[in-house]
Formats: sequence, structure tokens, C-alpha cells
Amino acid sequence: MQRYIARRLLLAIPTFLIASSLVFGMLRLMPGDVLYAVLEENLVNTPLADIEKVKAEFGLDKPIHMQYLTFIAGVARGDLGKSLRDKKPVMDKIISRLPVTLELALLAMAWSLAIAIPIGVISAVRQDTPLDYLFRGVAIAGISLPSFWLGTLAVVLPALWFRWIPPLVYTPINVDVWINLKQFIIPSLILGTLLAGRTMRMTRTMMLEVMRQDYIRTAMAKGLRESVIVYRHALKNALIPVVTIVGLEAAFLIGGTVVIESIFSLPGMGRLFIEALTFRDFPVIQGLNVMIATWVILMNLLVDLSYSLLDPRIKYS
Amino acid sequence: MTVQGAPTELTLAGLKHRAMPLWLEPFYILFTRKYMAAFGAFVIVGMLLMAVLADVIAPYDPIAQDIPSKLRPPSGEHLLGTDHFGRDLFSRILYGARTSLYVGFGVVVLGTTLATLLGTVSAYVGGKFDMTYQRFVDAVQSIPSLVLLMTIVSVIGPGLLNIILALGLRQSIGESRIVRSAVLGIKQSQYMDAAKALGASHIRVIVFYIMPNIMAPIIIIASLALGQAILAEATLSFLGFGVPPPTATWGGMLSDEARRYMIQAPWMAIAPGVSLSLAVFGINMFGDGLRDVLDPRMRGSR
Repeated sequence: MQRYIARRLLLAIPTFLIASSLVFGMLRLMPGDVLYAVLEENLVNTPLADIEKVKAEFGLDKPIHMQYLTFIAGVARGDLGKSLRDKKPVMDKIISRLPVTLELALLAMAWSLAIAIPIGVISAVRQDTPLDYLFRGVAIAGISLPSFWLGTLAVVLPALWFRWIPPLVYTPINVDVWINLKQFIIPSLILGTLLAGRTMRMTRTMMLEVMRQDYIRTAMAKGLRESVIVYRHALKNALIPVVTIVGLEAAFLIGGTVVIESIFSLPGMGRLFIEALTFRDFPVIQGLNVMIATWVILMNLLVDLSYSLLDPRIKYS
Repeated sequence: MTVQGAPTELTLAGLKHRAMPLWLEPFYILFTRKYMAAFGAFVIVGMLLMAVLADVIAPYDPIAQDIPSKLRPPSGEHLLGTDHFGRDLFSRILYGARTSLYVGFGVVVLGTTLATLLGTVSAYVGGKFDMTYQRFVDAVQSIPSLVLLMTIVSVIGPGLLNIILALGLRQSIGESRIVRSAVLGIKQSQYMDAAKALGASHIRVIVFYIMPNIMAPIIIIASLALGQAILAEATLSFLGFGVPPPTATWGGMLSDEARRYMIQAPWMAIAPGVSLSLAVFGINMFGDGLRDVLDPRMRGSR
């Protein structure tokens, strides 16, 4: 077990390094002088000496391999550099936006699991009935509908019909719970519903597989009630891959938050990313990509490890 | 006339049907039993017709502005109304189908070809190369798709071809994994050993032994990738990182600048969204049905 953990950790490191290098490499290829982000229109007028000073301040005058090493060393320390726009440390900017995205993601995930797992189970247990087809159709709709369209409708239609818009200024949860919830409920419902489609299909597939197993037949032969069979025996085993799904959802959620935060004007990491891209603030872009990649790799690691805990038969050498 | 021993009744994907040529089987099942997939196929054909006949059907030029007629509701003159530049929405929807299909098929062709190449080579060569490649795939997949795509588009610039390139690359990396596991499965089989014993060259083995057997997963991946690609293009266009205006694209029609006018002109929000949803829904339905029929092991919703 220890060896497995050690091995998995060891594998995660090169993955992380490759991801960071990819991000670093991509951004260095960005056209347009990045210094434009700092100096804006003054770029042409600024004397050369000042430009050099700015370059030195951000470490842009060093050769590329030095820049890369500084970057990697910084990542190891948790220092992601300084934003080109306002010179604040990238890490601080990201952390300040974290609560919003986290709240959105958690609420969405909770809602998604709450509807997807029961529906997946029912769909599997009542396979090939009209109810099953309905649920499957809804699930496919869930993964087909564009999030930005639903979000747009969710803002436009209430405004049109009820003259109501969600609160526009972000209120953290410790300041005022109700306004905060009013702000987050619609976006997280939308995000959660879209997520749920995926989860529901997985749950259904796994339940179906489990239900075909011999031990389920034994339980039925024993004359146990259906609810007991489903909950006590089938569900627990079917849930193991669902743990994977939850881990994968974490990665997908981050993409989803970009769109939703944009529509609902929530100041989260997604919005930060779009702003950074618009202004060519590449330390922030870099930092965000790295953080997100780290998060995803970590989640995958945790999921893999939890596998071996949940299912004692899985022995990794 | 019954041939001795030949089956008169077959079972594919658990559904009984009459004997017929092997290549015809999946289609027969798809269109007679899997109604949801048949619906999906109709949607795809409908989209194709829209795109191909856009020049003929569209009453107006999709990018022609007509400011005096801006923000008109649906009427006899403008079937779906006009947008904030006075452009006819119906025409824009029709031409939007073109953009979506260009991107969709472009991405699928590029992505699937690349994925097949990478996955097959990686699985066939094996060893250190395979392991390194897998780490690379992990790394790329750790960066959420949208985030990666937006970054790529910032680097290489917006535009139809660039979007196809970016989307195709991203999808191919993910798909190559599936191709790889399919090839790994085949590598173990006995006819592979037989081929090697016969002295078949590597190319021959790959082309004649491996490829035909991985066609089923590849077709499935391709069909699902189409829907993903169209949705991704729409999302990118919505965020402003996709096909730039004034080209009509369903995602772009819902973007920020259009949203400002949506409270006054709600019809602007409905048509592009419905088209997108229907299209992707139909494609996914079709892909699902295809998967059920072609590969019962890859049960997503079976």
C-alpha cells in the first residue's frame, strides 16, 4: 500500500511538470508584446531605459531557460509571480477569487449528485421502461444543452416576466447569507444540472453491471426486498466508480465556472481567467493554469487512492 | 432458399433481426429499433440540409446590416426577427449551421485521424515511449478543456481554421487514450502472433490487422466528438474566443454584446440556443445509439 502511494505520487510529479511546461511554453508564444499589458499605450513613448527597468522587474530580461527555472522554482514555493496589470502577487489574486468559485462548484456538485444518483439508480432498476427512456433523454439533454444559453435564459426570462434580476454585487456568505444564496442558487442549479447528466449515465451503467452480478441473484433468491437489495448490496458497489466521476467532475466544473461566472457577474477564478486573457496578463494565466492542473492531478491521485480503500480486492503492486 | 447451417436470425446488440450483409446490420438496427438514434440522424441530416441550402433558402445576407430595422420581432419579413444590427436572424441561423458543421466535421476528421495515429503508434511501440506519451496525455488532460482552448486561441489568434486546429488537437489527445486501449486489447490476440510469425512488416500489421478491428471504437469516438466540438466552438464564440464576428455562428449570436439587447428583444435568445441544443442533442442521441449497436462493451446508457 505504501509502495502504491509512493509510486502514484512519483507518477504525478512528471505529469505536473509537463503540464506546467506546456503552459509556460504556450504563453511565451503569445503574440503582441506582453509589456503592452503593463505600459499600455505608453509603450511607444516610454524611453528604452524605462522599458528595460520594467522588464527586469518582471524577470523578462533573462534568457528563456532562466525564466523557466525561476518559474518552476517559484511554483514549488507557491510563488506564482506578479500580475502584469497591477503588480499584485498572482497567488493572492487567485486566492481572493477562490471562495466564489469554490462556493459555486460545491453547490453545483451537491445538487448534481443529489439528483443524478437517485435518478441513475431508478433508471437502472427500472431499465427499459418509459421512465428509463425519459431519464436517459433528460441526461443526454443535460450534456447537450449549452451552459451559456441556459444561463442567459435564466437571467433574461425572469427579468422579462417577473422583473427580477439576481443581486449583482457579490456578497460573501459571512456577510449576508440570504443575499449570497439568492445570488448563487440559479448559477449553481444550472451548472449542477448540466453536470448531473454525466453522473447519471455513469451511475446507471454501473448499477446495471452490478445488478447482473451473482451475489445480487443470490440476494434475490433469498427473497430479500428490492429496496434492501438495491441499497445494501448493489448501490455500495456501484458507487465506487462514481467516486471517479466526482473527481473528474472537479476538472469539468472549472471549465463550467468560467462561463457561468461570466454570465452572472460573479467575481471568481473563471472571470479572473477571462480578464487575464483579455489583457494578456500572462503571469496570471500561467498561474491559474498551473493551479488548476495541480488541483486536477491531486484529485485524480485521491480518487485512485480511495479506490484501493473502498474495494479491498483491488491490489496494486 | 436456406443454406444449411446459415443463421436465418441474428442477434446484434441483443436485438433479434433477419440475416443480412454484415455492414448493413448496424444501420438496420439503428433505424428500425433505436428510435432515439433515428431521431438523431434526422437532426443531423436536417442540419446538413440547412447548411448546404443556406444560399438558396436564406432571404437575406447574414452579415448585411440594416440599422433602421434593428430589433424587430419575428414577422412576415423577418421570420425570426432581427438583431441589434438589423441583421435577419433566420438567415444567420441558417449560415450558423454552416459554421458549426465546418468546425464540427473539421475537428472530427483532424482529431480522430490524429488520435488514431498517436494511439496506435503509442500502443504498438509500447515501452518507454508509451509511458512517456501517457504522462503527456495526463498532463494535457489535467488542464480543463475550455481553459486550455482559450489559452491556445489567445496564442494563435481567432479564426475558423485556428479553432478547428485547437479543438482538434485537444480532442485528439483525449481520444488517443481510447484508441490506445483498443489497440492494446488487440495486441494480445492470436492472429497478431500469427501475423508476426508469417513475417508481416509493421506497417502491414497495423494497416491490415489492427485498423479493421479498432474501427468500431473509432466510429463511436468520432460521433461523440462531433457534438462536443460543436458545443465547444459555440462556447468559445460566446466568450469571444471563437470565430470572430461578423460571421454568423450560433454561439456568437448569444454572446455578451447580443445579451445586452435580449430583454428588449427576447427572440434573439431563443433561436440560436434552440438550434444549438437540438443539434447537439440529436448528434449525441445518434452517437449513443451507434455505441449501443456497435460495441455493447462500451455501454454508456445500455
